[in-house]
Amino acid sequence: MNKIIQRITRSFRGELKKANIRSFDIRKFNWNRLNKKNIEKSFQKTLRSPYLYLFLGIVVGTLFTIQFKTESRRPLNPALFYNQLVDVKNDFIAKREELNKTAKGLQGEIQTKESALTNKKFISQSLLNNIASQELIFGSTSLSGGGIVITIQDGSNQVKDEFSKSLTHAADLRDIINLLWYSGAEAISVNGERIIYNTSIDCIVNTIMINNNNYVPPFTINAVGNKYDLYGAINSSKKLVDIKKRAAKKQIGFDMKMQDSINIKGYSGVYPN
Amino acid sequence: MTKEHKTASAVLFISVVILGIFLIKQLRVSAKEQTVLKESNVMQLAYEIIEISNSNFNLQNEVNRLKQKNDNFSSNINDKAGAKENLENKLEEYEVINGVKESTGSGVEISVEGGVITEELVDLINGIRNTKPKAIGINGKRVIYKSYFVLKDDKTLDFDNKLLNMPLTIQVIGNTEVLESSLSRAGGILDIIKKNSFGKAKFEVKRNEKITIPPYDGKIIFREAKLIS
Repeated sequence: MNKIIQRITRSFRGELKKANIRSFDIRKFNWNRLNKKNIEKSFQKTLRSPYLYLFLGIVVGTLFTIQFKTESRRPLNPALFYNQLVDVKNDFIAKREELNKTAKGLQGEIQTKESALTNKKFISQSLLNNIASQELIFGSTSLSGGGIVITIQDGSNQVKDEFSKSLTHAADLRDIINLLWYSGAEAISVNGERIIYNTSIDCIVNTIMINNNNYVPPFTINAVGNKYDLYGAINSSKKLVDIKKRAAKKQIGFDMKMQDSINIKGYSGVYPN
Repeated sequence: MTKEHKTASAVLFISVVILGIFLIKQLRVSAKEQTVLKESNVMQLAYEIIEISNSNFNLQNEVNRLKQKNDNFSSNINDKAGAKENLENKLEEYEVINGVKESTGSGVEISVEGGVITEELVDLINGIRNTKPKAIGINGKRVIYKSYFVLKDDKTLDFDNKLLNMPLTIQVIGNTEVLESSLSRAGGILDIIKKNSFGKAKFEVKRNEKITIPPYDGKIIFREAKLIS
């Protein structure tokens, strides 16, 4: 190794000697030589120099080494654990979709059999009507009517040390829904997810889980009911004070409008059969 | 430009491109490693997996129940009494979960004392719903899908147009083990509310082998909403 270095040094000294450069003093430098022709000549000379390629080779080689070292470290460090967790999560999500599909398929089969029964004389009409009424209350049927549509989303104006205030939280959705029920809403959905008897709205890392499904902002809340009552309650300055304060500072986006006709889909998850 | 010059320029160009690619790749790998090695990110991911796993467990149970029901249905489709019973069971199940029929079973009772605010009560009921209970009641009144909770200035609770005074007793029918451990655990909903209220809110969770929650005594009317056929 030392021999190689010595050889390179000797060769470099030889090159300097050939170029007649013994010492360099910036004060004595002839600036008139710095014209286009001389620069081009110097550039060509540099391109022909083996040291340029030696330098480039060393840099590329170093990067190669770093790169391969980084790749080989992966199985030994927590990155592998993280990647395994991501794989597990994706598997679980796929399993959830598969289970949902199976459940819906079974529900469909049972419903078909039940429908066949409705034509039989031995099933009373009142029993069938009662089931239909309960399905309406449960939320398995789609509804339409006047009401309000609220949109809430993360804001663009992020204030230092108040980052969490510029996010839409599960608690914001819960408070809005509670107020909507208070003001006489008859049916509510969030991003198409129907609010039913055991719906919980929870923050799961950076998503919000509603009826076992994850959602991200923006959130659209549809509420069917007397649109004036609903609008008046949400618009009241005494209600949802924190949300409105953040909306005024543009920390979150908050908007609502009355509509004469809103469609709310039935609950799409698993329900009693 | 000489031939030698052109070759040298091409070699230089290719070298610089290769250099650039490796540099960018290296920076990206380093940035990704920074993200994945952060302990909080791993914990968040683990928490997310637990939630999805719980949800899959419930779904699997539901699928098993539906399979059994479907099989039984097949065997008694020609049995008039059996078919009728099937529909009657379905109606009863709906009536219980909708809160229009009395519900009895084991579960827990949570006594709530001190200074809770509307938002905390909403969070508490949400936390209870997260455990997927069979029925919920407050001071013997049934909580249904459209129940609301608004604490008035005089500290009375407007719960579905009924005014209740503190302390409150929340009855929950469901899996006693799950209810008790999920509600009482450190970092659970009761713990969070307690800490947020600086100890003003006080809770006590007690198991009860037999809880009876009466049906909802209000009216469920759809004035605006119409069925979409």
